[in-house]
Amino acid sequence: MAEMTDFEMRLATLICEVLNLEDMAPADIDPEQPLFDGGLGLDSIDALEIAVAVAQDYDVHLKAEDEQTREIFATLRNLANHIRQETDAAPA
Amino acid sequence: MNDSLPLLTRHPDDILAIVGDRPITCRQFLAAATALAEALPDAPLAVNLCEDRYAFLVAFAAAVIRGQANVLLPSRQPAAIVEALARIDGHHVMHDGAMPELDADRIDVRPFTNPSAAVADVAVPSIPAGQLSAIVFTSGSTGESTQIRKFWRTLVQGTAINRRYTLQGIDGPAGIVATVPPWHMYGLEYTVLLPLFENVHTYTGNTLFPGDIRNALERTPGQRIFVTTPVHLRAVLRAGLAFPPVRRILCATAPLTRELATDAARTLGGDICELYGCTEAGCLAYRNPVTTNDWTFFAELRVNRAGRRVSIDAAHLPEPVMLTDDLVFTADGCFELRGRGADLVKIGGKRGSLAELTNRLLQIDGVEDAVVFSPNPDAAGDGNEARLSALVVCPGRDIDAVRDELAQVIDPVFMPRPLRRVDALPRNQTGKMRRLDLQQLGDDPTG
Repeated sequence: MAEMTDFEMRLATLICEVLNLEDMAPADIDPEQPLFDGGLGLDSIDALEIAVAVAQDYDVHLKAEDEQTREIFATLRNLANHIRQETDAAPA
Repeated sequence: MNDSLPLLTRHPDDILAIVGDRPITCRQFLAAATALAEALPDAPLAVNLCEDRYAFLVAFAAAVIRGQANVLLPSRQPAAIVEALARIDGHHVMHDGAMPELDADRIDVRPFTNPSAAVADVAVPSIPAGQLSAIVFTSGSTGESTQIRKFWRTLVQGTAINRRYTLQGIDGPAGIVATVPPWHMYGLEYTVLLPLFENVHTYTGNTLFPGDIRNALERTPGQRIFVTTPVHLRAVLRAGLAFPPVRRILCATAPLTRELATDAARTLGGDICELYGCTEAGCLAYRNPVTTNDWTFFAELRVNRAGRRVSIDAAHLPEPVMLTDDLVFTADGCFELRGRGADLVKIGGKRGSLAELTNRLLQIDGVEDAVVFSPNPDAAGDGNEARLSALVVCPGRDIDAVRDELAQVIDPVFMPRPLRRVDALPRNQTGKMRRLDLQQLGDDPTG
């Protein structure tokens, strides 16, 4: 399993909180494994919950119609990188 | 008695859909649907797997024109599609790109949905009123899904009834923005059928995230109608975005609380019409949750009460429909919704059966006993939809492997969390289990 950065760990904690992933610790999420389609088995409502939490905590607004959103949501690492690019401020 | 009913009743210049930021007229839509109808393979059933709402609309109409019934599968999981189609004889598949490997005739509808600028008028097709036009599925308590047959008469007349309650007071063109898919009954009624017969157009782009919903509302001219569910409504309100004003919110699939309804009306503007219905009969009743707890049945329905069992009959329905929910009637004939049948769960607008989900678990190699349950069924509503839990007895198997196999065959919204491995289920002498015992085992991380 790939190493997680501190920022990825914070994001993993947020995801476990908003999705009530009780049987999973943030550290159990592999940052390079798919979040959807297998992987954690998340669905479109989960994607919506994550998007709202990211909007609230980081003021980053995701849109499904953007070509790269599928890519951004593919893994925890991609999502973390996208948020950091958009905010420029979030420390690694 | 009418032997046939038209495919649509709108003017060729009327806008039927907004594709991206581009309006599509009924003339363009009809040209696309008739061309596709001619190109469809021969078969009595047309499995409509289109994901894009406009592609779905064109494919839906094309099949009806050709005299074929749209098969609308409840789950779009690849393994679930393959399994469902193995049980259906005489079908072809209409798709718009993504789909699993299937042993069936298939047709990509995308070459037909690209709107050409100038198209000639096409005569509006007449559809036999008794033509089987759609087959939808519902989960029953036995664990097997049931096919519900929709005849063209039922769909057309049901739409006329729906309009009386949901478009009341809205004059002139209105635009629908929906967060529900067109292949479930609620989405079919308000984003596919309503635009064929009423002065509304439907936005067909993505509406997954709040930012997409804002875009959709901005691109929707005229009065905006937001067709949604409590889950989506709650997310939209929390997103902290400014939305263009909405004329009306239609909400269904799970009860709205007064707080969420009031908040939604204040943030988005307009009024709220909450709808109650079922796959078998479509929408049946309405209320304004800001002002009342009581639901009112549509006046066109006959409501038959035998004790607590309620069935619905109407001129457009082929047969009476027994309701599985617990209704408590008030003196004036309205009712309160007290709960759902214990086996049925509804998450994100999708209906599942606990018995069916448990069967799915039991079919996995190495699973000796299992139960899927709703840990807190009363928490539903307000968008805090209760997710499912499961306990599994599988001595020789890793629980993650069981989870992976289960994910192949069920919709992700029904994936139990937690899915917990236990030594034995807390069955009593009759083999039954109490929810309390299940909850305790489910809550205990060492269990």
